[in-house]
Amino acid sequence: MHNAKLKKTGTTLATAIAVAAAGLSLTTSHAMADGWEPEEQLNITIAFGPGGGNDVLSRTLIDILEKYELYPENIVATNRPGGSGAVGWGYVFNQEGNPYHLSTTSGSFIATPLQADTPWDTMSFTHIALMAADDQVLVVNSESDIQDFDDYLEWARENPPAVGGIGSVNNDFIVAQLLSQEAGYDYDYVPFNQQGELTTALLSRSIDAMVATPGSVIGLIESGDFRALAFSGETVPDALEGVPSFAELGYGDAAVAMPRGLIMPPGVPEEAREWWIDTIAQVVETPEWAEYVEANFLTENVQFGDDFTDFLESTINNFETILTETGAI
Amino acid sequence: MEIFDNLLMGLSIAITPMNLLYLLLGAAIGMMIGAIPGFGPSAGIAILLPVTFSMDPISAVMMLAAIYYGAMYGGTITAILLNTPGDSTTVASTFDGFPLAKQGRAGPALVMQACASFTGGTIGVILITLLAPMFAMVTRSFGPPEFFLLCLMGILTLVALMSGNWILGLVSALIGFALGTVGVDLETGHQRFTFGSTELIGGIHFIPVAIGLFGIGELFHAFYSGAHKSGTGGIVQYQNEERFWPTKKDLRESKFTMPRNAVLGFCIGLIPGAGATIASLMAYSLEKSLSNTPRKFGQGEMRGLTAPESANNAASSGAMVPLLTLGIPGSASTAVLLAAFIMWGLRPGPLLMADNPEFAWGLISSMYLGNMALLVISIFAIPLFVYIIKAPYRILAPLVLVVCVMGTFSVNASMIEVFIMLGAGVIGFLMKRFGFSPAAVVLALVLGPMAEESLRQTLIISRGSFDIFFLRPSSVYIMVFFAAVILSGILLNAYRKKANIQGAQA
Amino acid sequence: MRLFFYLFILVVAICYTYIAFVDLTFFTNRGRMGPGFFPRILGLAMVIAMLLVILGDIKKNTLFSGTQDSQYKDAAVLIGFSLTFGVLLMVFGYVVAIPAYIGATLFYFNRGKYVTNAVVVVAVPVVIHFLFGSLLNASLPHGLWW
Repeated sequence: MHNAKLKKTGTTLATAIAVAAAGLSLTTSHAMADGWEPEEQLNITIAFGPGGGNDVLSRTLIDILEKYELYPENIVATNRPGGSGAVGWGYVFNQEGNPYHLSTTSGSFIATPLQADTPWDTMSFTHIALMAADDQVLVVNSESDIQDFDDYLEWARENPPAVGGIGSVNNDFIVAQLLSQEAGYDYDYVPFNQQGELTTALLSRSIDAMVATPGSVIGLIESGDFRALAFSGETVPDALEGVPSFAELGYGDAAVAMPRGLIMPPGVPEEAREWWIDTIAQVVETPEWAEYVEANFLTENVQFGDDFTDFLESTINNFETILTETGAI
Repeated sequence: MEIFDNLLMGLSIAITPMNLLYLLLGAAIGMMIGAIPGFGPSAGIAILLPVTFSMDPISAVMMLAAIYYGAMYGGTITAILLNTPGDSTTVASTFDGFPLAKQGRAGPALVMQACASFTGGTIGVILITLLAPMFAMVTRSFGPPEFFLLCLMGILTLVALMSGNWILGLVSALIGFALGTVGVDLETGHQRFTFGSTELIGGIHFIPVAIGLFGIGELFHAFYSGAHKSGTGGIVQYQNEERFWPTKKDLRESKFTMPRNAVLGFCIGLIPGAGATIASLMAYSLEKSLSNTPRKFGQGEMRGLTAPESANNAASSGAMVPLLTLGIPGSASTAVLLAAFIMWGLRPGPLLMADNPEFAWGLISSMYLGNMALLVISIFAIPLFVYIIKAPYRILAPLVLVVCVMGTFSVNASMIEVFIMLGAGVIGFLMKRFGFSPAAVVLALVLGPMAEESLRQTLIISRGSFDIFFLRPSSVYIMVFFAAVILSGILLNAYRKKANIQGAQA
Repeated sequence: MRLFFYLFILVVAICYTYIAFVDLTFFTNRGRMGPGFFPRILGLAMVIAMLLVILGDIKKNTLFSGTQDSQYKDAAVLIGFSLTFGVLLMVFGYVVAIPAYIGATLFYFNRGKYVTNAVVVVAVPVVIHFLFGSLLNASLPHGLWW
């Protein structure tokens, strides 16, 4: 199914110097004590269509694995979209114990099983590593009088704003909801299906503010059409310099990051998991990975194995609490 | 004349041997993909996206854009020959395209649709070149209230399209709206009619339903009516093909149809989310209401084909405006293009054209060349398609069904969609047999969810008040415009009736 | 046939309406249009419209016309083959299902032309394989075993 065998792309990603610098720490030998070594083709399942966040992450990962010869065998990526990831991750779930299947995660990895009656849930997989996190930025139209977060807060407490985001059981909503609870104002959440319609709604000032990933609005922030008020992550990307983080504003608890990580089917042998943790530790050190994180405005946040499991667990709890309060699940 | 300098600069980038090759390749692949039922432009781009990763960004985006508008050309071929729209944008083209083919005028219909697509696409690119920043203002004034009004207008045109038994038409539209409610409710996250199936969470997709109701339904119906028994009989009686080229009458009739619907289509294409489907529908009903012989529409009227065709191609150009000037994807296809932009290290937004002029203008210039290439390719390819369709129907039918099934499957790798398509085929056959309107079903399926979502968004924003439609200037403009269109339609009809009566008396 | 189709739509419409009333709320807890707002209206409208259609046909006495239509036979055979094709595709994949389906339909509808039929049965799966699998790099159904 869509067996796109990836050729080496190496487009704008690599620079010779960076490769040389990183090359020192990167060797293909895995002198692991346990001695598990991959011997078969690796199947990467992308639970969404081409061009989406999961797709780009998977293909970047394959690029790096091939470029540095970190995986000795062939790698095949397959898009299995449908049901907000339910279909693709369901497929991986069914490959129990098979160490040659891998998939990437996003916000839907947490939201979909909470919302729908999927046979799997977030915790049933073998968690390899969190590689980065997606954070959100709160923006308003520059034509409004709101200059910074204090203005916004003052105004929002008087006039409950309409805040837009993608989907109703989604990170955008969770962040908007937590922020309003923490900062103490009332608001109305306006869900949209597509980024295009959401961005247009703010451009036309139909809605008062929106929560979005930095990548989707950075162009409009740079051109001065939108004004960024606050960033949910801890380290603000360079492109959003001067924008305070939620933590700096005192609402650190409202930050819920989306996991960009790697998972394997349930019940994968411990040695294989160790091998992958070891390999991913090398992937996240490459300059290509750093460029991917920067180009997509992700927040660096690397956690392996059980730490990743804990991260997922606390994110699920956050989601569940809010969605139960608001009656969505 | 900054525009011409830019355009020349763009052309100098587009006309390198490699880039021309990629452009032609993209146009040809796009047309071929568009002609396979199930593959619309977005599926085509998405599938070929990985191939372009190793290419230079400008060549890659020229090729992907060519696949995008090339698929718009190709999609109509199956709509005309097999009554199978490959995408929601070509549903309106089946209304008169297929009757034309049945009358043995498939050749002229295909040539005219290529001309209409070319006119639409080229006028679209000219408008982008000259006025993209100005048109971006349209996008900037569109929010959920305006979007809802537009959907409402689309639904009203649906009523205008209905002919024959109105109550069966109404039931058909209601079925379409009901299908559109399946899936997760956007506002509350509630699941509606999914019966616990994870595949239905995202709703019932348009493509399997449309291919089933139209293409497969037509196929079953042809076996019912005995078309397969006639010795050499093709799906439509091509052996009676009078001539390949359109008559002077065809050209004369469509002289104004093509440009005016191109402008209309372009303007609607500017609006993210609405795009080519609503554009082609509105073009069809506009043309029908302007015509002196509205009864001929649906019976094989050339203008009923050229109007939606020029509109949907112009709309696909229009959708490039928010993409290039604001970094906003207006449709599934442009969303994949946007993802590609980011992957190549571009930063889409209002500064894109200023920061990367060679990229933006290279792309725009390539669209002129691409549309010309497509006109030529289509005209050369038409005899081939007509030839294939000349095969005896009893052999052709199973092959068409296999291609439809494979096309439907490969878009989402979903067997459920294959069964939805086959089921829709049976229903489509019975609907055709008993006078229902499959067109109303699929169009309601597209328009219904858009209308529901935008209305509910509007009411959240306005806190339940309908005043919002009268308080926003752009909403008021739209309502005034639509009121004027409807009123002039009524007056025109009244005038014609009067003229007819006087004519009869004299 | 007409009666059966009408009744089929009516029954589906009634089920739809039932679910809309039982499962889905008319208003949300914030007093806005709920998930069931439009489904309930649509469902009721569908049931009423279908009843009107059936009543109208009873009046016109057209409801039972065409039931003895012998023309349905060929269409029914094709529909049967096509649905079986879907099932075969799911279970055995395209390599088995496509030749089986095309072979069966041609054997039934294009009798006696063994050479033509054999050529088509072999050629089509090959073309499909290369067109979708190799050229377009698209997904093809491999059946349950792969």
